[in-house]
Amino acid sequence: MKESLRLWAAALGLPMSEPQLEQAARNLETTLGNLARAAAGRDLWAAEPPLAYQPQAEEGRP
Amino acid sequence: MKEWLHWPIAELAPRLRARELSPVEVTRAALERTADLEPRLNCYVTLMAEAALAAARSAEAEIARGQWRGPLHGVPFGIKDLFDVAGVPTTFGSPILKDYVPNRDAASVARLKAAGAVIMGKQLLHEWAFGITSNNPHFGPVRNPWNTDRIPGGSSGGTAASIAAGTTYAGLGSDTGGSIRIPAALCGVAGLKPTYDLVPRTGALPLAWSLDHVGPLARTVMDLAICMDALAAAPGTYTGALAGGPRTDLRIGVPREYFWDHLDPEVRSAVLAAIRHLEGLGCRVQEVSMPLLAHSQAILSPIISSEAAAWHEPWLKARPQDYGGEVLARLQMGALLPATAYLQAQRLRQQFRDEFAAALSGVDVLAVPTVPVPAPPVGATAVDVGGTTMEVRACINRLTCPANLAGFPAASVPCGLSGDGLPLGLQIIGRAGDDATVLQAAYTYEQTAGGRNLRPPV
Repeated sequence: MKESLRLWAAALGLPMSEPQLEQAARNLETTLGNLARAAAGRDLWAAEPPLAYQPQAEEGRP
Repeated sequence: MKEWLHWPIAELAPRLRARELSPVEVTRAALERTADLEPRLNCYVTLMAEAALAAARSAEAEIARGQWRGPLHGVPFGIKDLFDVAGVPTTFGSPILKDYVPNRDAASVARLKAAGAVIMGKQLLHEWAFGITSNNPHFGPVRNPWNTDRIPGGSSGGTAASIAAGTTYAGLGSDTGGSIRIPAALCGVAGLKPTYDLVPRTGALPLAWSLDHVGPLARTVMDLAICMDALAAAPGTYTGALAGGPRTDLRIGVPREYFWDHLDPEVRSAVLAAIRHLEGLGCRVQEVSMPLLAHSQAILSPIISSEAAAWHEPWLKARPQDYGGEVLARLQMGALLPATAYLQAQRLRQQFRDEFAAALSGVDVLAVPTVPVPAPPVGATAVDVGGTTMEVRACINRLTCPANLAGFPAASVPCGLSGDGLPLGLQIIGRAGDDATVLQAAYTYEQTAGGRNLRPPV
């Protein structure tokens, strides 16, 4: 996974060190694994995502 | 120290209105106490002493002319440093924004100023609000007034610590996974995460827009209601909801799952005692079931990381060296996460929300713990939870993040102290838009259990 991430980070223009790539790989593995377990056996298309939760143009930004 | 620095707003305001106390006298005393405690607590990024005194003088003159604006008039108030205050830097706890000086107030700040609140300053938070310790790598750690070796919780750590310490009467916070309720619980004050978007986010720098909520922290539930009357632009609505006193007819749901899995024994004992207390008053307590609760953090993580990374993208590319390692790792993970994970998490979130709403359909509120443990030591990365070792962040926000996913209102109210003298919190969660009932339930507990307005040893 780390090699894929290295290419992906480079494509996005994200400067990342080796330890950061390793950390990201671990975090992604955990996050995607947890999400897959949460979704297991559920019909994700049974409910529309909450469309009200959109970014607001007037939100704060520097 | 002046005794009235620890009063609730509901007790202070009539004295200010009657001119038995002056806003200038109160603000000056609060500033003196801040100067005394700041080296130990580190609550502020920017203390606005001159502006606060000017606002206090203005309040004093208005009150003298009979132009009392309401219970926040002349009251020292803290602002988490992610809300814009015109002419004052908004750092968001990062050196990247040290030169950002907004030219207008956030909508919530403008409402507080219109209500007459005296803005004391911009208060320290976890870097970019992306964490729960308030141990900021650039500004140092905020410390807990109950024990300065302990964290105050976060991300609104400076705001909660200053209220507990008696340097402000209330404060404005934000809550994306628990950032109002966690520091409220760990510092022994009250906090409300209102229903999503009840308080506008205009001028509040975002962590994750679909999870961010703006709300108050204060010493008592009545003071939360006073703040909400102003913040929601609904004069009398929330204070009016408490005018009838404690409610003994509430139907209280206690989730069977998740909230009781990993819990410090003292927290479990205090929260169960609080629920029994409410039952003893006449409230009906019943079990409810929400199987998706077990996946709260699994659903939250891709959403918060993706949205935050989207907002931070330019700086992640250009200035990664200006981030603390902990926050940078989470943002980089969010930047690399597939879009499909974000979308699937949002779909799961809708099912989670439906399940939550169904559980609340037969009860008025849920009563659960706010945080699984008392405040951990500053710098700790792991914590023992009833014999299980857990990573601090994963432990601390696991019981608060469900209400962010649902967008439902949730309050934390103190429910006692641990054996080490650290505050514990009872969390009350209600239906979307039913913030008044959440406040009524919290108020009922607070007013009848005898533990209100705790005072730390500092």
